[in-house]
This record gives sequence, C-alpha cells and structure tokens, in this order.
Amino acid sequence: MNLATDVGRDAWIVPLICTFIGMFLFWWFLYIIRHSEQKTIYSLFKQSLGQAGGSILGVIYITYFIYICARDMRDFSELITNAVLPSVPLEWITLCFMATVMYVLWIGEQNFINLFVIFGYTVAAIFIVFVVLVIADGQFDFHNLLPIMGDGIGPLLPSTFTQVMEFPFGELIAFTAFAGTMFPNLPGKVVRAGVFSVLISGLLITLTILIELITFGPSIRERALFPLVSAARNISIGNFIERIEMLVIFAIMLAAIVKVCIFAYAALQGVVWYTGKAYKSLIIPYLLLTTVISYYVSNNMSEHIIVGLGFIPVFIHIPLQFVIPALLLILILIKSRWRKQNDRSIV
Amino acid sequence: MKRTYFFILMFLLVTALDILCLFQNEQWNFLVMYSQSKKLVVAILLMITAIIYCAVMDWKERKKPGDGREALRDQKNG
Repeated sequence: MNLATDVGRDAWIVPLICTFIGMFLFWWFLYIIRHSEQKTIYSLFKQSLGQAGGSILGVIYITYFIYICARDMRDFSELITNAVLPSVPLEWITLCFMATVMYVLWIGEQNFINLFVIFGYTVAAIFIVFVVLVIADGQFDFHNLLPIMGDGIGPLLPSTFTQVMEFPFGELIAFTAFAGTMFPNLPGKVVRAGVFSVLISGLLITLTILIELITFGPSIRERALFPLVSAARNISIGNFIERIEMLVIFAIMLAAIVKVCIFAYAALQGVVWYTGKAYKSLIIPYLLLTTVISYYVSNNMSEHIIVGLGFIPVFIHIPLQFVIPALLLILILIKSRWRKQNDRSIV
Repeated sequence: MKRTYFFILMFLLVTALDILCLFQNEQWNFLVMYSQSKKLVVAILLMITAIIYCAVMDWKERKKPGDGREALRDQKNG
C-alpha cells in the first residue's frame, strides 16, 4: 500500500525512522511475554486481569487479528483485480487466496515456517533483480528527493506516529500470540534474530519507497494505488525486457500469504486457547469468516485506503498495539517488584 | 456446541468492528454495500458452510470424547 504520501519527497524517511521504533516495539512485545511466565498474550491477559477481564480482552484481540487479516486479504485481492485480472470478480480471487492460506495453515507450523524461509529467499532474489533492472533502465532522477527534509522534521511526525509506526511495525503484536509457544522462554538468540528481521524489513520498505520516488517523483506516487507495481511497469530495457510488474506482483503475493497466515495463526491460537478445540478443526470456519469480512471492509480501493490509513491506525491500532501492551508491562513490573519484596520479607 | 457459539460470537464482533470502521469514516453507503446481491449470496453461503462445519465438528465430538483441554477437564472431573 502507498505509505506516507502526505510528506511527498520525504516519504522514505518516515519508514526509516519507524524501523528503529519497530525494532524497539518488537523487543518490547517479546519482553512482555518473556517476563510474564506465560506463553501467549491470551494467557497473559488472564494472569494479569483475571478470568473475566482477561477473557474479554482476549476476545477483543482475536476480533482485531481476524479483522486485520481480512483487510490484508482485501489488499491482495484488490491488487490482483486492478493490476492483473480486471475481469475476474474480486470474490473469486479472494476465495482462491483463502484456499492457499488454508492449505498453508493446515500443513502445520513447522512446515509453514520452512515455507516462509523459502518465500523470504524468493522475495529477496526478486527484489535484487528488480533493483538491477531499475538501474539498467536508467529512467530515474535523484533530484526527486531534493531538498531532503526541506521543511524540517515537523511535517514527518504525523505520518510517523499515526500511520507507519502502526502499519506495519505495530502489527508485530501478532507475534505475541504464538512466539512463546514456538520458542519456549524466548531465548536471547530468538529475540535478536527477530529484531534483526525487523531492521531488514524496514530497510526494504525504505528502499522500495526510494525507488518509487526516484522513478516517479512524489506527485505521481501520491496518486498511484500500487506505486511499486507502476514503477515496475515502466521498466523497458531495449524494448525486450518488459512487463516486470508480474515479478513484483508475485513477490507481493508471497508477502501477502505470509502476513495473512501470521494474523490468521495468531487469531486461531486465541480461539484454541479459549475453546480448547483442536487447531485444525478451526482453520476452515475462521478463514471463511475472514473471507466474508474481506468482502465487506470497503466498497472500493480508495475507501479501503481511507479507512486503513485514517481511522484504523488512530482508533484501533494505537490502543491495541501500544496502550494495552504498555499497561500490561507496567502491571508485570509492579507484580515482579511485589514478589521480590515479599520474598525479602519472608527471608 | 462451544465451537459453534464461539464462532457466531466472533462473527458478530468482527462484523460490528467492520461496521464501526465504515461508520466512523462517514461512509454511510455501507448498507448499500451490504445489500449487493452477488456479494451477499457468496457471503451467506460461506457463513452457512462455516456454521454447519462447526456444528458438525461439535456433534462428532459429542459422540466421541474430544481432544485438548475438554478431554483433560473430563478426566479431572472423573
């Protein structure tokens, strides 16, 4: 999706700042799980707020994960409808995508982690090819980036704190739903690898926006629905190497599968925790629910962007990604201090 | 029937969140969108499939004691 369009030529600086905030966020989310003696955020809610409060908050988070999963599903379906298959109904594309995600979740967590590693290498290879082709094409202008921060850092702050910090970096909260069960006690090696992955992802987003800006300039980028796809479409080397956007769409498809699977898995872990039912028996109904919601998240792509980058980051993401985890952290720290004081008084 | 009831609860909550997001952005046409025939038919079919699937799984489980925590709880209760 088109990030930080309101800051024009400085759009690439916003994800760069957010990358470092995102690294801290990821460390913070894992720190909460690591120091709570619980494996998931759902059991942590129950431990911190009791049976009733914990259950209500847990159900709110499951709802949130399903809704965000549906929005991501819609992003991908809109991309395919707009860029590749304009005459195929959106409903069919979403159903096909849902079937893929369902299969990936069905094969089990170890298998889909291995699959995501292969996806990661594939996306990295496609990205390198894409950058080489952009350079070979030569239709770029670094003057589109100048002057850098001409109006100071002030105009960048609203986009940083009310848009890019929540989407995509704050969405790392989904990992708190299952990281503790996959890696018991969350050793330092796992946390370091996760933080490093956030750094690499943030730098990739920054580089992507830089490519969009030097290829188009800020004004065309602002109007494009999928600027990266449009940038790839412009590449023509010797009137022979063309239609590179298919490679980019393929890479986006792989990334979309990973993201939707992570949110769906986070929601399913919550449902498993609450109902005690087998994980596999929940995949089909909850993915069907996600598909139905993805049909109704908006009427068209522009409404989808308005809702996704306007209302949701401020009123849904901020409370669930920052406020509640911050309160949980304070609660955990107070409880551990009480426990230490009690231990000392007993001794 | 825990699986079915929880699924229906989640369906209601996610739909409520969806309507809230559209409503807050003054997109008053969400009722028009909800009544688009093609989307509505597909959505109803998918939801019926999901609810029937949940109900059948619950029914199967009731016939044969289930897995996970329910089984453990049953063991504890003797």
